[in-house]
Amino acid sequence: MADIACLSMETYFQRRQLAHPTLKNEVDSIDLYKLPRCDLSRYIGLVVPGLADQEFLLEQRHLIRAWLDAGGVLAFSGQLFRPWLPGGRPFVPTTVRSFRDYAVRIVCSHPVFDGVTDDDLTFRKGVAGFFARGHHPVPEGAEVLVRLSGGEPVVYIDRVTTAGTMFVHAGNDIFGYADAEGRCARLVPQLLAWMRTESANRRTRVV
Amino acid sequence: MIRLAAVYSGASVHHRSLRGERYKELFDELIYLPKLAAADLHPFRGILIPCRMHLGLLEAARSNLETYLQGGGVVIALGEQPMPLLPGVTWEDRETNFWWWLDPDATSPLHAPRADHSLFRYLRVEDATWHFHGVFHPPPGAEALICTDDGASVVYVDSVTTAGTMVISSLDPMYHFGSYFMPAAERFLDGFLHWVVEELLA
Repeated sequence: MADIACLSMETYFQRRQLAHPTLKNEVDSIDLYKLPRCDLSRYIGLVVPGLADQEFLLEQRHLIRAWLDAGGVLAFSGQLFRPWLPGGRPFVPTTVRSFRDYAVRIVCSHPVFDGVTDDDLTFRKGVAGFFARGHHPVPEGAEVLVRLSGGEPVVYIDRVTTAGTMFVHAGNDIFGYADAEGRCARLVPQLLAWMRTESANRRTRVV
Repeated sequence: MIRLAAVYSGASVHHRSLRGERYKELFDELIYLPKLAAADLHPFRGILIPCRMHLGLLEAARSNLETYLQGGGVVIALGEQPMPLLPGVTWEDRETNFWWWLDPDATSPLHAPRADHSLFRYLRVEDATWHFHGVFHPPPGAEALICTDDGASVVYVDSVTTAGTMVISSLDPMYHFGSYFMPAAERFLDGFLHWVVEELLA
């Protein structure tokens, strides 16, 4: 059993992604609909994919909230449209006039993005827009790590809304980088390592 | 009879594709995917199943869909079917070339063997061309509408395997439209969904 779980939406591509060697032994795949019967306290980290059923998450939001308040570290990539994530506000798409509008900047040094450049996130094979095409308005007190060229916050970390930590990314699943080439191959291992460090730091603080 | 129901997964991409301003008028009802297996499908002339759905919940709904088809229903299924969901479906995984269009000498890998089909009054083959993750091998008697050079199909219509009609496509336009990505996917949906409503279900 791993110490981080992903609430899988069990699509063909999600199953393949979670079977990738980078993730297979690092993350337990749990069918989202089994959430009510799952003992989340066994996990220090929870990853919620962009294709997650947000109607169901809304029904089960008390479980997510209670786990966060017990010090959990949650990572979400996607577009929020239901208020299941504490402090989360609806996704706002970017109005795109040129590919430059998709350019992102890492505005705060952070272990998840160590060794990764702005352009690594913005482009894949010269095509822009993979990392983010919009944003979530940031809860008060949250820390912004990455912004779009227009200043919109693409990744934030919220340690104030709950007693846990939320890493919120307004884009396609970071787990999608499990098979990335080049510097972006660092993203998934660095995200998982950071979730473990963050959890350990939280436990130290509580003690 | 109610014209068209779409299956809704609760994912943001399907929320935008099915409930967003652009296409919502085309869907008379939404069936929440966890309720599909037990849903009464008979009131509907057609059922649309988007791409990127929970395979276990689709599998649970297989016999309900088959009964509906045997009663003359119309099922439009988008996206991959690695474990074929519908009768007569044969899926083949293909290595996805996301980047073919970056090659200046590239030509679209898709073509339409029957350019006079009503679908092509609503869209062009170019509108179906972004990438595909796999292909189908339609059964004898089915109509292949958009094909690869080696004779496999990414869009076909099967009115022979069951008493109903299946429109099967390996394309994933709702995922891309729902992610605010890939303008061709939007052009495809503009044409395809209007064809479904105005021709297929007319």
